[in-house]
Amino acid sequence: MTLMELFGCAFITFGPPFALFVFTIARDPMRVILFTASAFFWLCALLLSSILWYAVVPLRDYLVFGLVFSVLLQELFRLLFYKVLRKANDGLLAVSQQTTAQHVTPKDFSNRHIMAYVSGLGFGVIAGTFSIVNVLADMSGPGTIGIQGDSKYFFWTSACLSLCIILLHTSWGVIFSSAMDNKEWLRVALVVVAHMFFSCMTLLNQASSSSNSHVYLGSLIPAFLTLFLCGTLAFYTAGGSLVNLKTAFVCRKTRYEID
Amino acid sequence: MASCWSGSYQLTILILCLSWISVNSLRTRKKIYIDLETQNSCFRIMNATHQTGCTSSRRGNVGVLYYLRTAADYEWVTTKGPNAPYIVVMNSSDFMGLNIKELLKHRDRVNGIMFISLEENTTSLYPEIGFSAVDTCPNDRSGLYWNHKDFGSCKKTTWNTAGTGLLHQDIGIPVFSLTDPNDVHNVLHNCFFKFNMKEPMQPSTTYPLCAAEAMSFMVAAVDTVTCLRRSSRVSLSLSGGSTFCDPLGDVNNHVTMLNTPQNVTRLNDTVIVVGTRVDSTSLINYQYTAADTSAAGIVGLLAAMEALWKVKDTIRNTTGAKDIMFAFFQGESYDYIGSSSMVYSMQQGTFPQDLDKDEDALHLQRIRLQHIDQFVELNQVGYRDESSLWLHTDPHNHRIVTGKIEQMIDGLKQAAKPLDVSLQEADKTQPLPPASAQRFLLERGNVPVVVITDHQAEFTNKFYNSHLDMAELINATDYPPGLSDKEKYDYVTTQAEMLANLSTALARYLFKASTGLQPDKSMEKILTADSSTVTHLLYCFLISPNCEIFKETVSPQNAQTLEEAMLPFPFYVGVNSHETEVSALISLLSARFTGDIVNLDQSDCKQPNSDVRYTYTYVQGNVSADGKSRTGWCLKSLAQKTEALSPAFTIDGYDMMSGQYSTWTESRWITVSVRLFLVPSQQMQLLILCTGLVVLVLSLLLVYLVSSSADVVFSNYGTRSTTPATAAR
Repeated sequence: MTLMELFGCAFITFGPPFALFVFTIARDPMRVILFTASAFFWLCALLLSSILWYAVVPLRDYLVFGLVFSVLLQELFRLLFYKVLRKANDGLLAVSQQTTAQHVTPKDFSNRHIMAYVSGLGFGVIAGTFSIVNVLADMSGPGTIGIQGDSKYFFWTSACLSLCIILLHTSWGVIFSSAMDNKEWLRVALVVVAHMFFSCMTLLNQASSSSNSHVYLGSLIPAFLTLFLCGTLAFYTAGGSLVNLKTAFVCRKTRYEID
Repeated sequence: MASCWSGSYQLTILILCLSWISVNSLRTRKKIYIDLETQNSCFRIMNATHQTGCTSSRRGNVGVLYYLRTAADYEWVTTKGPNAPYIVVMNSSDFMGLNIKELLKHRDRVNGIMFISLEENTTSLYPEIGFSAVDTCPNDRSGLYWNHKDFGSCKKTTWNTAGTGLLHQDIGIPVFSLTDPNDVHNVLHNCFFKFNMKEPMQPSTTYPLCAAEAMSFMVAAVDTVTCLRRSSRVSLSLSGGSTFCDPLGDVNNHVTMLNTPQNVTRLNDTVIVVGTRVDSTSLINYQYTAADTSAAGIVGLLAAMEALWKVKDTIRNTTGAKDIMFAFFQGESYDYIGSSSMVYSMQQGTFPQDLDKDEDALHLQRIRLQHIDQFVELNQVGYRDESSLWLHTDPHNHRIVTGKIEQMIDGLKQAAKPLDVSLQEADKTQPLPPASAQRFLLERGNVPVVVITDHQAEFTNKFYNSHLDMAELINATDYPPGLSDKEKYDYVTTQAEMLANLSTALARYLFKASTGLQPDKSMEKILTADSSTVTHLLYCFLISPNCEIFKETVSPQNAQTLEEAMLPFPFYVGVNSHETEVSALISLLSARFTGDIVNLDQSDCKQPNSDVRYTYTYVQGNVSADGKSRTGWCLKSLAQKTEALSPAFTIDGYDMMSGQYSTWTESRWITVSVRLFLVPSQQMQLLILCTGLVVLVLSLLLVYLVSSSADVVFSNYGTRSTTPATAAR
């Protein structure tokens, strides 16, 4: 039985998003709503790209075609969701304030990165889920991959790439939203390009799918590199810095709560 | 095709969502598993006291695949190999009693058996010592000699020396047969030699190893009594109760020469019964070839029927001519289902037709046991022992009706002599071999019985009741090289020639036994079985059912089914709710050989209400002159079907434990499948699991720390951001 593989892969993919959800989202109903709504927008993008893929019969066999348009559509829906959020800002604020003191603006609205982060995570979790769930379903056993000559690292790669895409979407959510707010078009373009780069890179896996090649794991390096870069950028965008980190953890004992 | 993830994470999903045709080709499952085509599995049957046959566990039996070729391989699998449990693959020639029993002793290590029954395989299909799925004394329990002090349990002659008794053993693990070349290739070359035997003669023991999952879970268990009770349990579910097993059964076919209506008295000893068994059995579903076990007998009887009915007018017009009944007994392999059911209905007075149902219409007069004048049975007639056929009699029966039996034997020998058919008497002190006639003798000991078979003592057929009882072994396929299918169909084989002579002898004997007249030269010429009919029927029953004589003889509705049939129809009796193709064809062929073509079209071709003695059958007929359509025949005949269901299931309050009637039932099942896949090494699995757990724990920790001090970590947002909203704060 390959239940161990199943749970291992599930933990790899969903461990970090689960932790993020539990500690940052679950306790706030407004964030849960935002999270779900953004997931819904990603699904809409998926639906549109599916229709497109289905409609253009001659290109159905070319993965690249569907891939490129799917990425573009996802980015379009990210933009749409951003616009909707900005439009709904006042309404959401009103709803939130009913339960809190009227004169204090809730933190979620004062710090827009929080909203961007929540919607990015929603986007990512749904995308990651869709990319791994069918693999997980077939992983439950009793067999593992390889009898057709496929790489035995297939499950590893699938799980890690899914984790990457979840975290990348989260980062992109933060970068994109802040870039739109500040009209920094270069950063907007950066998000789209990074997304396109990441997706197209997975195409390379086809070339090295022979059973024992370690090259199959190779696509993980640029994937995690992209993640690292985007993550760092998002971190700084959201107001983080190394100094802050140091303050937070190293000098923890001397810090005062000022909330 | 590369891995499905590799393309893109989105696209897989798109395809999954939209086109289920593509889904099949892209599911990850397709990369993990190779599904075999084979459906030829052993299944569970039950009688009143036992369950026998095969089953897998509910989720299928999994084992590392191992191909057994040498004695060392057996040892490896049963004791040495470190990767147990195994699912073994063996060649057909090794699939024999001893080997299987050895494997079954180690059921903790052997989780399933598959064997390659493919003719292209270099090794021979046939085990040298023979193979028979039933035991050495077939149907002993339900026959005439059960508990007999001299003959019981085959004390005098062990008939079926090749018997393994596997069919009546609770095998308990799945057994599959591989008949598809692709399956065999996948099992051997994409699985075994690639992963489990990387170096010759040195079995691999390190993972990943190639394993198989054999799935043939049987829903019935314990025995027939338990299963029927469970099936009849009142169920509260909306979908109704579930049935776990079905009684074995089908229909018996018979034709009578005379149309004696119910208002004409039938005198005692005036019906000559000529019978043969229709079914055979084997361990493996769908592989019920029965060349010698029953097909030769069926064809012999049909050909004799055709010959005899050419002179039907002479017989019918002879005053005092005895009636002749040709009977085809179904389900005989399972404790004489067909014959016991016919005997039972004769005793009940409902044979051949239930007169009480509709008293106004003309029915055939009852035939009871006392009306039987003599019983000639054609048993296995394919492999002739010392190129002769043998006449068997029951010692007791022979003693009490000596004169009649001697007369029958003489008559048969006389009829056979000019035809170059050697008929000899078997040892008179020897009991009858397994035969339907035993069930008649059980109820009426003084019916003169002669059984014609090809064996003097033990069976000459080493593959009685098995998947290997093939046409080629009885010389029914000795074609000169390079014949097309059409030419093969018409080519008169050695067996066909021999069988035709036997049929001729039988027809002439029956003519004389019925009318008392010695056929003259011209009559003899008419009373000759057509060797081309015999060869056609052998071809159709044993090689391909998609043949002209079958096409002519099926109804237009069934033509399509016949057209699509690739393999010979199975001779297994099946469950009683379903009429087998073989029975249906025997019925149609009987109608064709004994009936008259009446000028009625398809819609009018049915029985009038006033006279239900005749059966009206509409069949396609031969190709008409224009070469396109078929002419269509409406056949009016005395061919009848009666239920061949063991009386055990019809008698109210029958004691299942009494052993009087067959109690066999077949279990139902849901899926039968075999798939191949790799099992990963334990280390690899542990590695993945541990990585997963570490990732989970680390991220929980990290996120908790960061989020608890998020205000400090992200304290720069106000200073970096210049948007009006945040700046306002």
